[in-house]
Amino acid sequence: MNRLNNAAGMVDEICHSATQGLCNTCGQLTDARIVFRGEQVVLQKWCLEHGQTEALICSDKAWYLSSGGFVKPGTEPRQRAVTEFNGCPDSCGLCPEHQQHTCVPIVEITDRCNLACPICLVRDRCEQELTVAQASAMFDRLVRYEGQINMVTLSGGEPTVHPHLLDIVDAARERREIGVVSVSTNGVALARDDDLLQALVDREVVISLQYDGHSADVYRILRGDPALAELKQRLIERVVELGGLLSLTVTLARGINEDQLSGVLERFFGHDQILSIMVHPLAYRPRQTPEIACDPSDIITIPDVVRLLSEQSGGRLVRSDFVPLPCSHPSCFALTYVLKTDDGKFVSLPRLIDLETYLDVIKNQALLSTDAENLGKIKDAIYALWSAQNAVPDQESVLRTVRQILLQMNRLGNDTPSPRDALSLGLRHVKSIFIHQFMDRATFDLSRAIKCCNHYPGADGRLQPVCVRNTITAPRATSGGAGRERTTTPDPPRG
Amino acid sequence: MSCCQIGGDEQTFLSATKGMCRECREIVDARYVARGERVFLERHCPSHGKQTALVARRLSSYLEMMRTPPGGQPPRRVLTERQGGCPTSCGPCSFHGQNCHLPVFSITNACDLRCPICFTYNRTDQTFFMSEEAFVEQIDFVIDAAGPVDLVNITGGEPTLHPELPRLLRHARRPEIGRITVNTNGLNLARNPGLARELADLGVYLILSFDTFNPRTSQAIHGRDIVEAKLSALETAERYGIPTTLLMVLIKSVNEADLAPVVELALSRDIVRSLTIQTMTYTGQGGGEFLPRAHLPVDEVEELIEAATSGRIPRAAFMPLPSAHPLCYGVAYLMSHGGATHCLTELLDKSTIGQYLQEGYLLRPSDELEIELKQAIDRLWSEGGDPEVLSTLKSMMTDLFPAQPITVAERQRRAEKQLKTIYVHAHMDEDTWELGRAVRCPDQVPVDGKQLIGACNYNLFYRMRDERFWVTR
Repeated sequence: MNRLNNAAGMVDEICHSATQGLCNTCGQLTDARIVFRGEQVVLQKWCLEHGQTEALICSDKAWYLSSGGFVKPGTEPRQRAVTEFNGCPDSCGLCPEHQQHTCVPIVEITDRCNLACPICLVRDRCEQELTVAQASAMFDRLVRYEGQINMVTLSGGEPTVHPHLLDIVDAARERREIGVVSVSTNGVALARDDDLLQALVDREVVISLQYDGHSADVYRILRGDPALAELKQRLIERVVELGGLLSLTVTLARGINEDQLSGVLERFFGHDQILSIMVHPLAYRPRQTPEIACDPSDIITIPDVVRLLSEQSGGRLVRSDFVPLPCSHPSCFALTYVLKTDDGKFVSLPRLIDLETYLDVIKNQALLSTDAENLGKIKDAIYALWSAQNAVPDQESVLRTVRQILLQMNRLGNDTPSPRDALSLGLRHVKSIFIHQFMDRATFDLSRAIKCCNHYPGADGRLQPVCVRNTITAPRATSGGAGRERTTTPDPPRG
Repeated sequence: MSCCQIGGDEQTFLSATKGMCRECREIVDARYVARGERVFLERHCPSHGKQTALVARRLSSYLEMMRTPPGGQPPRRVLTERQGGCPTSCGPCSFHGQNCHLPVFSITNACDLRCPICFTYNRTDQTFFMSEEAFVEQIDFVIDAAGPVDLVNITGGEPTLHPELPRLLRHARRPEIGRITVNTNGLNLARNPGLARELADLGVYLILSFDTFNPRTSQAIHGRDIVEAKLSALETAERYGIPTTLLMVLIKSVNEADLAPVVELALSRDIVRSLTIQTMTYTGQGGGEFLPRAHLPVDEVEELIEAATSGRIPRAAFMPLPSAHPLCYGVAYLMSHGGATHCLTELLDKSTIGQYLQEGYLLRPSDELEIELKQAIDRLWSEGGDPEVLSTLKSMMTDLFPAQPITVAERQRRAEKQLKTIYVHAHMDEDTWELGRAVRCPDQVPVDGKQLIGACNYNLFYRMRDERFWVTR
């Protein structure tokens, strides 16, 4: 009995709730529990074969507890590709039990890539590439599922190596239901091929650039090429020169580029054309290089990123500017929007409007929501702000800016402005900073997968939550009590 | 398939977990979801489809409860190897998240009632009385496994039918055990004052089930009218000075009308130290078949108490017990003086109260709490608080912390006279069993000196396999 004694004898460790997770060793779905250990929140999994494994999921108990209150009802997609639920995540795609529509579809147009990053999430590369017709059919399906799609992200592999990238962009832009097209890129091809860059800028494509910092060493370790630091810097300048739109995506790795956010924020605040920052704490995979630590108990979590951003923002941001995104699972995203005033100052939107309205209008997108209902709410909130003139930081310039926005909104009329009009309005005044914590095998929590809004459309018509696709490899075994054995072999798509 | 009315409202997903299929009793995928305001546990059985049960009346209260920091301690010792997963290797295994704070001893299967609401199993063809040796062994085992405990609970069947009850209880009087509580339906006690005297001498606390004042309701839920016997049992307890908890099983659309008078009874009788409202549990030999099956969540009971007391005990007076899952236990502390009732939450915030509750069920009137209370009283005074409240508080403080020092035990006894407690306790049945609640359970049943099993896991998965209590068919 001694061997078993004291498994829980560690001090200050107490269970909060149960969920389902994946065994760190084999990836089987297992019973899991969320445990508070000191200030940390840990996900503990019990695999019947490999015993107990665990992962840090949040470094701040208070953040975790309060984030639990940030929930919003799911939105029903118009149509789901899978009509029968056969257990989660086995019948993925979206099945009738998935609890959120597709807010951010990520279309992988090619598996090929011109880099071989040690931290790459996408595995088992085969040389698959969507034809323009296939991509086009995918957009049709997305429109059928969702009606209106504010932003479609083209990804890969490296989408800019696709020989028909521009045709695919055009195919997306042809559909008026699709608002903005963004291309998620490492920038290598765009830095070399100015014509391609110009063509994307001409098409109002948001260039979502992987930008892990300014130091060459960061790129050597994370991307396998130190020269990328300079390449990215030049590319940002060139896009700005061309009047293109940028979003910076930072993969943040413990001990490697945590100090680089000041440079990212400087560029973000310094250029009107940089619409947003997206910070991804690195999701670990077993086959990473020795230089990149792979310790699931020492990862960067959302409150750490909030702290790092605040510390490195030169006083522009504070912790309370960030809130979890309630329409996805509250452990997946935190974000803030900042308003740029006409004299070049930045004020975070949650300091300007009441939290309830703010939570009501924010969605998982780089730009504030553009449907008529939300615009109405924002308008009301801004009017309220206007009439309560005492509690506003940088009152004069904020109010002037707000007046301008109101004028422009009125000019857009009462009808729903097109996402592209709203984009140009947002572009001049509102920027966003998102933190998105992807799940890896160790941190996978089924609760989060069920509420996911970031989906990969597959060639078979199914939509799969990004983290399900990236983590689920093993077939499901009996792990929780009398749970039945299921396999991950997908059923043929229905509907 | 579903046992609850579901509105067509917007659905808010909350979390994924495991639950139970009522049809086949398999452990299946489950999730907490809100539809509109109401929160349900929804289970997906591959063979029997989707089933739902109400677990919180309001999403806002569910979210607030789940934001309460969990307290208590992990199990002191892990006793079983985790095999097959929860709940098949209970003991506690390494997955269990809470130490045993309230061991529950079933010393007999004998009972002089056949209540249609009985949520456990007792075979009637063969009587089992736990032997003295076995009882001592169990007590030793619990203390060895879990350490000292504030409370132990003796139950059955009807434990007062055990012919050697006082001898057994004497073995439970040891320094590692703070207090002995004995459950009873009161029938035997009402007939047998000698037993009452013995219980009083042994210093035990009674937990007297008291569900209704209405003879017809009594007939429906106990199988016969026992209202008078219950009142007479309470009088007996009063006469012999046995501190008593009233235990009411609250059943939607059956005895809701009794809530107000039972709360009144609990508040008005000095001998009643606390009131436990247990929600109806639709399992076991009676409850499994009981209709209508309408689950009553903890937060809804708290709202019903607010309504029954015309706001005197508002829902805001309740908080989750930190050592248990918030869907299992809510608790409120009330100060009664001169006919007026005040809630402790008027004086201290819930996180402060939570700190003094970390270890279990009883609020400890420690020196630190004395300081907190004095500061709160000063604050109230400086803010021009109600003189009546201030006078109630001052007399309470003088009683609890007199100039002449008193023992800790004496102070605890006085505190419970001054501060009545209302617990709201929801057990789990086939519809509401959920992995997270099972894992956080602090009420545990010792089995054969080898296992400590969470009370609802025991009741749902183990007891009916024990030949002393049920015939396996």
